[in-house]
Order: sequence, then structure tokens, then C-alpha cells
Amino acid sequence: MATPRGLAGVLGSSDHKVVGRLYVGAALLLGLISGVAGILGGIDRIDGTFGNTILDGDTAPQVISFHATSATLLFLLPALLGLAMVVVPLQVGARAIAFPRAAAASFWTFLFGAGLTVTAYAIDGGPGGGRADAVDLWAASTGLTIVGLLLGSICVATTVLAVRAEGMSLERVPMLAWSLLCSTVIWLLTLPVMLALLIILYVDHRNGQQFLGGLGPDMAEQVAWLGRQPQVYAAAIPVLGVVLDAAATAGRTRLPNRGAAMGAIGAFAVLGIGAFALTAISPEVAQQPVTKGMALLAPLPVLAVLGLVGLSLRGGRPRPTSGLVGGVLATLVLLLATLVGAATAFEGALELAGTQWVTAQSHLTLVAATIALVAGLYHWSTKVLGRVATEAAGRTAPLVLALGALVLAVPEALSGLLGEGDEAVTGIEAMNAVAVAGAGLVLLGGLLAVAGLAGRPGRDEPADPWGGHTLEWATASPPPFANFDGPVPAVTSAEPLLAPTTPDDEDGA
Amino acid sequence: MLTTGSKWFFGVAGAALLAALVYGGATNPSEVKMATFTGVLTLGYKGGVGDHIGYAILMGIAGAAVFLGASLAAFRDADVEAEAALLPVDTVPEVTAPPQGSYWPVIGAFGAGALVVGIVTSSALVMLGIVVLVAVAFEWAISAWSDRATNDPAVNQAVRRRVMMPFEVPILGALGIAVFVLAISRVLLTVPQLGVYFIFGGVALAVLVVAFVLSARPRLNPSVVAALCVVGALAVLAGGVVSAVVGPREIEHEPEGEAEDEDQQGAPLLSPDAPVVLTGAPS
Repeated sequence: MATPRGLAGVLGSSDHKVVGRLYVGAALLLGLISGVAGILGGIDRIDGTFGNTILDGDTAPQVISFHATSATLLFLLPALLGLAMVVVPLQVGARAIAFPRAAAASFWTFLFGAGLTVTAYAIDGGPGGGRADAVDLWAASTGLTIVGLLLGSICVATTVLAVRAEGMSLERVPMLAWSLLCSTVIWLLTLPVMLALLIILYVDHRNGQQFLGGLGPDMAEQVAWLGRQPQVYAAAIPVLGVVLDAAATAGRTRLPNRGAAMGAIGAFAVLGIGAFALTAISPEVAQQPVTKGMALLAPLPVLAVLGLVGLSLRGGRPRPTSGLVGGVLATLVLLLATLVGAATAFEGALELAGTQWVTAQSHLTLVAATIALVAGLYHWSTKVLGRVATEAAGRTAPLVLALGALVLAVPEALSGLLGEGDEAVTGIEAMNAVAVAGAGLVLLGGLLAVAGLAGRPGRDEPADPWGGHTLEWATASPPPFANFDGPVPAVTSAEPLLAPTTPDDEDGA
Repeated sequence: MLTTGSKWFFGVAGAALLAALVYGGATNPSEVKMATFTGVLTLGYKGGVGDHIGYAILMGIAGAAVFLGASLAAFRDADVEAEAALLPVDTVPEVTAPPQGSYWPVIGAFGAGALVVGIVTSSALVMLGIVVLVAVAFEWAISAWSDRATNDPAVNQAVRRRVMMPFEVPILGALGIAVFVLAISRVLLTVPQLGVYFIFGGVALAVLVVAFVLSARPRLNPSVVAALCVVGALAVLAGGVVSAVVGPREIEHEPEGEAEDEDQQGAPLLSPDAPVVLTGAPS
């Protein structure tokens, strides 16, 4: 039976590769809008106040709020979900994603929700917006977006858990698939909390902010936990999977101590359960020892992964591929983010709560995840896009992004150390201007990455441009409808495309 | 024997439980006594716990991890070999995506979108969203059933069509006609009088031409058909929505008094009681 192509193939397709590409494309577009909004907000607050420079007093908070929520909900999570939808079924040797039609529905639900969310902001909605029905539309459409993401998360998690090829036991799944299993499980645990919060906000706002008094005026603050420690780590879990897979492939070696690697990823995922940190439940939750403990522990799994990457590269013959360069840079930026986050645990000494220090930590984490996304898209470009991306751009863009993250976050952190909040003040204009330049660099790096993904046109793309070990490299580029033309290669170890060298390899780990 | 996945989650559960017990007891401001231990062991039922939030978070993580660990142990990490042994078969069937396209996911998302917009704007859209979602759920269930009817996707599609076509064609046809008529009628009420003639003729002509092309080229590229349908539906819907928002144009009604005057200026009406005079009749 012929598979529909063209527009009919896109609209009606339940092929996970098509759906994943749609997710990535839509998320990149929304990410661009979010980045521009962030820069506009940054320019506006150079003088330390909102709404005086290029945005008026009503628009400025909306722009900042849009940037804060869309960077996670409309850009990073859907983009990572798109990458997952394309690569994960291939990695575990599945012919299709679990619940293929639900995967398609998740994208279209996300797209409708995202479009309505952007519309709501555009017509003076969003948290604290001036038009009541637009604020209601924002709450409802953001909820719809989350429903779409949850549906997609179920599909990805179920694929890793239940649609693996014969011989692909759970401890043999590639690191990206494992990290995305952990990510999607954490999203499934925490995003419903955001959904419930939005329902509360909607009902409260609809009833004149009297039904659950006090929630209305602080709407933006109620949803800000999504981009703050520890919940923000939930968007960065795939960083560890990308770097481990890219390092093993670039080093042409088996990953040493897979159990420790899986444990580190899992531990980082557990530390990303931050739904309890929403201030609607408890404003003082940031001061709780549990929150501080999670902040202090977060750097440890990242350090462990960096150590494993070093071991992997030392034992092999590493090539500086775009995936490796991007993966390592993403992990380093993430490590910096967790260290910045750990400092918030010393609240009595540093008094960082509510300052730009927290914003710096969020920016570092989100840019780290963005760099990992770029690295992943380049590493698996033949599977995601069906073409080899430009390697030069793939190595340069993460560098620009990482530099942008530093230029963006360091002034913010310094402002935080000086005790300056969002509302401040004199003396930090220069640092705010530098931070805006950093945001510009981040946007530039993103555009460079997208330009490089266009790659070179070609008809015969290599199935495996890197000499990879895992199952996704055993199929054509782009992969056929059923993922593998013939039977799925036998899986007798965690690196099924490598010939076993010792009897231990047969056992998998 | 415990599986890899279950070991991991049971480990997390144990660590979280231990942390919860220590944390709940250590943060209890009262002096250490038996109630301190029974409190953290009984979720605060017999005795107290210290910081409730932290204790609840750690206990929540432990509970979720136990559930996930038990699930993975029960299903043997969903390993294919274990599933095959349970069934009992040599190999379990592979999961495959349906090769034929299905627009129901898109339509379902549209229904959800209509529902969301409707709860903010109007109950009519809410009803539309609910109706669409119910229809999609029904269609989806039938598709899921027919996907597994046989091993041949072509036969499965034929089975689905045989079951659903008698319902789909009349219902979707009637629905399409209703939406089309409603939307076009809004447009005709809104545009100037001269525009009505053009739109009325133009739409009819467009429908005729498209129908002619579709019937003359039955093997037309599905993408072209999809594009035509999407563009046409969006144009009609957008026109209808915009027209409904703008509202109907002002139609000048002739005042009743003037009409009466005109009647009076014309030929007088005969009263039923008026005498009838025959003219030109043979005398």
C-alpha cells in the first residue's frame, strides 16, 4: 500500500519521523520568536526598569512573561520531543513509535495550543494581561499545549519501555534513549502540576480573582517555577544522553561503565522533579532544606557524566565531530548552571533569592539544553533531516551559543551578587547591556545552527557518517517508513553494530 | 528475579524512603521519643513529622518509584523474550505504524482547539469542540480495531471503509453542507449588495470547476486534493468568522407609511363589498 506523500503525507502521517520533524521545525520557529522577545525585554530593562525604553508599561511584562514560558514550553521541550520522536524508535530497534496516531495528535494539539498561546499574548493576554478574555485564552491554550506535550511524552516513554527490539534489554538502550526515557517520565510527573495550576488560574481569573483569592495579580510568578531550579533541570536531562552517545561514537569506543552513566542520568532526572517548587503551594518552598539539598546535589551527576566522557575519549580515537563538540560544551555550561544553582543553597550568606542570580542560572541551563539540541540535530541529521548537516556550522554554533550563555549570564549573576533585583536601579546599566549582547549572541548561534542544518543537498546520504555503534546507524538515511528495510540487526550487546571483542561484550554491559 | 529497571526504581524508592524518615524525624522540633519514630513511619498518624512539605515530597518520590519498579518487575522490563514466553509464541509481533494516512489526529486537535477557544468566547464553539472530539474518539476506536483485523493493511482499510462509509458520507456531507451554507450566508449578509452577486456566482463557479476537475481526474495527487480542501475550508471558515464578527450590512427597509402612500397613489383596491360593474358586456 502506497504511503501518502506531500501535504497529504504530512497532514495525515503517523510516521514518527515525519511527526518528529514537524515538532523540531515548529519548535525552532517558536524558539526564534521567543529569543526575539527575550532580547526586546532585555533592551527594555537596560536602565533597570520595565516599560520605559522601547516597550510601554503594559507590554513589557507580557514580553518577558512570553519569553520565560515559551523558551521552555514552546521551544525546548517540543524540540527535544521532536528529536526523541525521530531517533528513539530507531535506537531501540522499533518499527514505529508506540501509539503512532497519538504521536501525530500530540504534535497537532501542541501546534494548535502554541498558536493560540502566541495569539493570546498578541492580543494583550498572558499572565496579568490587560484584556480579560485574552488572559483566559492564554491559560486555556497553554493548558492545551501541555496536553500535547504530555501525549508525546507518553509515546516516547512507552517506546523505550515496551517497543524495543529482541535482545535490546533496558540496560542496553543507548544513552540518548535512556536520557529521554528519564526526561519524559519527569515531564509526565511534573507537567500535569502546571496543567492543574493553569486550571486553577483560569477558574480564579474567570471568577474575578475572588474564588481562590490572591492568585490573580501574581499569575506570572505562579508559572515561573517551570523555568527555575530545580524544575528547569527537567529540560536539560537530554544533555547528558547526547554527550555520552556522541562521545562514544566520536571516540569509536564502547562507553565505559554504562551502569554508572545510566545512574548519573537517572539521578539528575530525580533532581529535576521541581513541581513542588511552585509558589502557589508554598511561597517559602525555596527555603526548604529539600530544595537546597537538590540544588547542592545537582552538579554531582553532571560531573560524573563529564568524567565518563573523559574516560571514553581517552580510551578511543576521538574526532571533534559536531556532536562531540556540542555535547561537551553543553555539559560544561550545564555544570556551570548547576554550580550557580548550588550557590542558592547558601541563602543566609549570599541572599540570592529573587535576584538576577536566579535568572542567570535559568539562562545557563536553558542554553545548555539548546546547545545539546543543536548537537543532537547535527549528530543525527541524516536521520532527522535526511541530509548531512554542515560540520563547520555544527562545531561553530555551539561555541557561539556557549559564549553567548556566558556573556548573558555572568552580568546577571554579578547583578544578583550585588543584590539587584529586576526592579533595580542605578549602576547596572552597563551589565544589563552586556547581558543583552549575550542574548544576541545566543540568538545568532541559534540562527547559525539552523543555517548549517540545511546542509548540502545530496541524493545518496550515508547511512552512518560517524561509524556509530547503535541501531539507528544500521538503517538508511533518511530511514524508510518501517525504519529498517530488512530484519532488525540482532542485539547481543549495548553496541550491536560493533563486533564483540570479549565474552563480556556478549552480556551487554 | 528483579529486572534492571525495577532494581533502579526500587533503589530510588529505598533512598527516598530513608531520606523521608530521617528528614521527617530530624526536622521535628519536639524532643526525640517513640512518637518521633512512629510519626514518620505512619505518615504522621501516630505522632508527628517535622517539615511536612519536604517529608511529603520524599515520600511521594518513594511511592512513585515503588509503583514504577513494581510495574517493571511485573512486566519484565517489557523485554520481547519475556513477552514471547508469556504469550507463548516464538516472537511477538512488531509494532508498525499504519501506512495509510489518517486525518483524525489533526481533526481531533482542531476540536480541542475549538473547545479551548470556546470556553473563552462562546458556548457554540464549546459544543462544536465536544462534538468533534466525540466523533474523533469514535473514528479512532474504529481505526484501531480495523488496524488489527488482518495482517494486510489494504484489507484492513477496506474493512474500515465498509463499516464506516455508510455513516461518514451522509454525516460528514451534511455537516460540510451546513457549515458551508452557514459561513457563506454570513458572508453574503456582510458584503455590499453588488459583491453578493459576484460571491454567489464565484463560489458556485469555483465549486463547479473543482468538482469537475476532481471527477475528471480521479487519480489526482492526494496532496493537491488535501491542499484544495484545506485552502477551501479555511477560506470559507475564515470568511464566515470574519463576517460574523463584522456583522451584517445595513439593509434599508422602506418605511411602512411610504408603502401605504404608494398603495394609495396606485390603482384603488376593490373592496369585497364594492359593486361590480361589467363593462363591454353584451347588453
